[in-house]
Amino acid sequence: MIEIENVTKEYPSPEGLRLRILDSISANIPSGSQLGVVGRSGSGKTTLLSMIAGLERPSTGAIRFNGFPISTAGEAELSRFRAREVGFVYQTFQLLKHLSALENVLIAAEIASHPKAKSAAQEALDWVGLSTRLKHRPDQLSGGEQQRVAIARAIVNKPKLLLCDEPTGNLDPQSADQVFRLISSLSMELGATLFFVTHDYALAHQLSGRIELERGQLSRLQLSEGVRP
Amino acid sequence: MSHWFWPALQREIRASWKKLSLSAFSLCIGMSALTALMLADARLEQQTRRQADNILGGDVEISDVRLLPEKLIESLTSSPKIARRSRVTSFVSMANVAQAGRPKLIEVLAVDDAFPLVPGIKFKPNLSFESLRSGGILVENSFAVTHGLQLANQRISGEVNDKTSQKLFTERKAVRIGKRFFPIVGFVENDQMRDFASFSLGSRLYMAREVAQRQKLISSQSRLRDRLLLQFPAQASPEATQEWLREELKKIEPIRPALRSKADALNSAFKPARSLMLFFNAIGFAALLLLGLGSAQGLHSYLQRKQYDAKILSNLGANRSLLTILYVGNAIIVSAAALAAGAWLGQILFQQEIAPRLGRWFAGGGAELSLLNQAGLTAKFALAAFLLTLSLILPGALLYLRRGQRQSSITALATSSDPLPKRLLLSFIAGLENFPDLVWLITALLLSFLISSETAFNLLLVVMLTGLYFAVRFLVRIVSRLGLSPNIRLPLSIRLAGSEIAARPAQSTLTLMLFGMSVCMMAFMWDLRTNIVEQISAATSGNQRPNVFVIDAPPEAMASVQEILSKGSAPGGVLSEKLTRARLARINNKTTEEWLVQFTGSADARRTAERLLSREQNLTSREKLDDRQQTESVVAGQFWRPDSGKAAINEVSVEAGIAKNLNINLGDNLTFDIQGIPIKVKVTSLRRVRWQSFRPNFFFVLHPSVLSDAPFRGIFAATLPDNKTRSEVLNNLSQNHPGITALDATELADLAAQLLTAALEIVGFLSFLMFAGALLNTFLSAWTSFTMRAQNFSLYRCLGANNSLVLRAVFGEFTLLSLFGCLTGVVTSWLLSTMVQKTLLSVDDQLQLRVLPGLAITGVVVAICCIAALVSAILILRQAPFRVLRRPG
Repeated sequence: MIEIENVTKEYPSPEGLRLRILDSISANIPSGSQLGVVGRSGSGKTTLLSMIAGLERPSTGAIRFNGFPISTAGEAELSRFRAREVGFVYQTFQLLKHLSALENVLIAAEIASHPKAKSAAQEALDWVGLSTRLKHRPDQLSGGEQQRVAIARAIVNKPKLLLCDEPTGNLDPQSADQVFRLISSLSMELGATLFFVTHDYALAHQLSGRIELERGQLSRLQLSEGVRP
Repeated sequence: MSHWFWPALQREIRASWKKLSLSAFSLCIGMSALTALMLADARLEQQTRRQADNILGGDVEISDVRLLPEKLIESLTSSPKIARRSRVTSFVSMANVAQAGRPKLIEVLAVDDAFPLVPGIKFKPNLSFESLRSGGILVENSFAVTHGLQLANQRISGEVNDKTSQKLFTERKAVRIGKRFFPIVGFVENDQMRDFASFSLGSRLYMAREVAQRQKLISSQSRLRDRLLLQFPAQASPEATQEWLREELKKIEPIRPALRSKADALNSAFKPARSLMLFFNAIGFAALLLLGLGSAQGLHSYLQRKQYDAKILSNLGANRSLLTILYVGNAIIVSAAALAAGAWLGQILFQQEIAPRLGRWFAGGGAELSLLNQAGLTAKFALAAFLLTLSLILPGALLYLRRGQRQSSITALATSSDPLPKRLLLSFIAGLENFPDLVWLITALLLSFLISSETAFNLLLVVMLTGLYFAVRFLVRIVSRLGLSPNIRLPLSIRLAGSEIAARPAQSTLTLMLFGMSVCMMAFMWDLRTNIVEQISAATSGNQRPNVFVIDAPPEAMASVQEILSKGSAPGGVLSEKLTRARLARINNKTTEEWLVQFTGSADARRTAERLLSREQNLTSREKLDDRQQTESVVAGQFWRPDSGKAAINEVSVEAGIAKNLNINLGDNLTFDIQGIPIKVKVTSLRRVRWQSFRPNFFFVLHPSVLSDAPFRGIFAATLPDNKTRSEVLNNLSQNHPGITALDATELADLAAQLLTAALEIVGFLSFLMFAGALLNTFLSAWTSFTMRAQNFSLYRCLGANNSLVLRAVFGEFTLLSLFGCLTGVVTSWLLSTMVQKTLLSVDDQLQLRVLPGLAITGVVVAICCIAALVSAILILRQAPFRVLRRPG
């Protein structure tokens, strides 16, 4: 269960004012939910994800994950939480160019102190269908393949929370569809809660739940179980 | 040009100057180091060329270490092929000055009325030979200033019991040589180039040759150098006349005087200083090169970032060529300003730091030389700097700003049927794409040929930098393996650090090279200081080491000299040897000319052999080698056994170095000519001599039975405990034996140490500059790679890396870079020290490599790099990772 209680996030503006990015957001999201996060640019989607991952702290309010106080935990606890419980997928893949596919996945397992990091990384790449491309570097892979490496890296530690920030934004429609299906099926298989930020309402509608943000406020929250066929 | 261009350029300059300032500063430091050194070099060369005539004093010089045959002088004087001639006989003596304590070592030049043939020497007042003929002397300015000497305006008898003479001596208007007083009738401006030409044995005094002869300071037995300076008629061909002279000299048997041309003199005068300056130049250019490469990183990072801007402006309709000119122009303006500022700072550095340190060599003052009045030098500088700048900037422009308009260079090259120049250009760009640092290095090295046509300089630079480059590349490769390879188990922080180093191989290579180079220079300076300067001091200090030498004592004076020296030293503290002068006339029954014809080896080796064969050799005899174990040892063959029972052992033991230079081997037969009498001996052993022992050592040692009837001179080495005793003994010697030379080795060692220290201070100064540059580049490198580093570490943080891991990894990266850089530098410095010691300074001793200074420098570097790491880590941790990862590019 993710409990978001009256979360507000403000940043100082260059003029010395306070810019409110998120305004009094509250939601209780059951574990295993698959949510599409939609909204216009600047509506606070990425900030919300960042705070759920513990990368930023809310100005006011609280966020808890299965009772773990994300908004008030110490840096070391948060790092451990991210390493073991959270998986990230980004729009721009964020692969290290000088490392091979296997090494890119391995790094996440090693940071999480996985006891069998290498075999876990190989298994994760196998899940995403890249077991034959272990030694390829990012520039030797297509965009869709690079995103699959990034997905393998996100799931290598079998996280309970999968945060995807517009992961299909840089892909052609066919690759985007493949990546979307892969992410949703893997999150279901892992029993992870999925937050899938996208501008594509059609994709968001394929997920069981939806969070819609408008000017930093929660305009709509729809929760239901399962993935639509 | 479009109307938008100039305002855009102004805006670009205003917006980017802060970002480019570190690059510019780095370039500026490198340029100032190079300028300072090149000015020093130019001054040296200028002075040498200006005084080329004075070095020799005529068109050619005929000289010998004995008095030249009168017949030769007469025949040359009467020949129409010679316009003028002057005879100068020089010898070393000891001069007493009132209240100066011990006598001073001087070089006396006994001249005739034709001196000087070349009007390069300045006298105050003008030289009047009559005053010299009547017993007066001229002294060098520096000698006069040091001892407060003044002009004597009256004639004196010079006799030791003459009151007027004594009075003038007391008033420091006369100098005593032996037991006779010589009034000072003029001063001579110091001949600066003498410092280069040889290790001077003291100040010069000039007197009339006939006076020196009358006072018995010159005799056929004296240790002297007799020179006949000749000037050719204006219309004569110097080469033809020299050839004629050579033929004339061949008629003199058995031992011919040496013939030296102006070119020979110039070469020998300039060689020691030239070697030193070549070395300095190499350091200066290496500094510019490396710091230039460092700043190129900054410029490329700038141009890389401008790709994005260029794309936007291009989409808005701006011409791509103009855009390229805009950003490249900005980078060129900044670089040119940095180079100009560097050149200006370099001049100040030269005038304030280098010229005063080498004051003896730059007595003309540093201010008169400036880039502005050195047209040739300025042009050379400007061209080199401009080309270097272009080589640093243009590739970036081609790579980043023009890329959109062309296909990959390698693809274009493979399919191209273009003319050769275009294919070469494509190869260059393709090389840049794949090995940018190596291509920059090669380009800059090629540019070094523009700055100096000296092959030795360029080779030294090429060897130094390419050696360092490949060593560093190898290290980067090893460190890369520490990265995230699944097969290596190391702490995660170290592996992340290795991964970061591998992520930016060219930048890491350059940072390592910069550290390597600067640490190398510092450690090298330390090595030389400890190994050579301290060695020289140690050689003349301590109770057991000889510190006073008497050379050239005639046989009849040996007992007296021994007695004088023994009074001041401990029992057994005086070593004496007999020295016989001879010429090596034949090797394996071939004359030296024939031997040289079949001589194999480089031109340098051949010149060395020629020089060694043309000079007189000092022979000594010894029954056994047992008591010399400390200073020499047999390295090949066998030294004769003292109990062999043979009446005569016609054998010679040769020093290994000279044997190698002359191609002499065990079993060869050598024939020495001792005053016309041939002595034939067989080489039965080769010895390695430790010349730094400051004991009398010889190239050729014969058995006493061979030299029993040969004329000899005495050579003494004494250990005198303190200054006072040394003064007393030297005074006693100079009064009783004015014709012999006594050297105080502690003074010579001090002088040598001072000279070396001055040179090392300059190296130290430069290494400090390079070190500052290296640190600057570390910050520059940290700054230019910050975006990439921030992205990588933000990713790690998103993946769960905590602050501690980020800190440790960033520290690990900087520590590994600095540590490996320092280690490379220390090892390179050891190699360099060995090379310089063996080649430039000809020191054979085993190197005493010190670990502690290397560790200390490494510690400082690592500590400073840790500060850079801390700054970098704090900046990374202050950023929100998710936002960093969403930034474009």
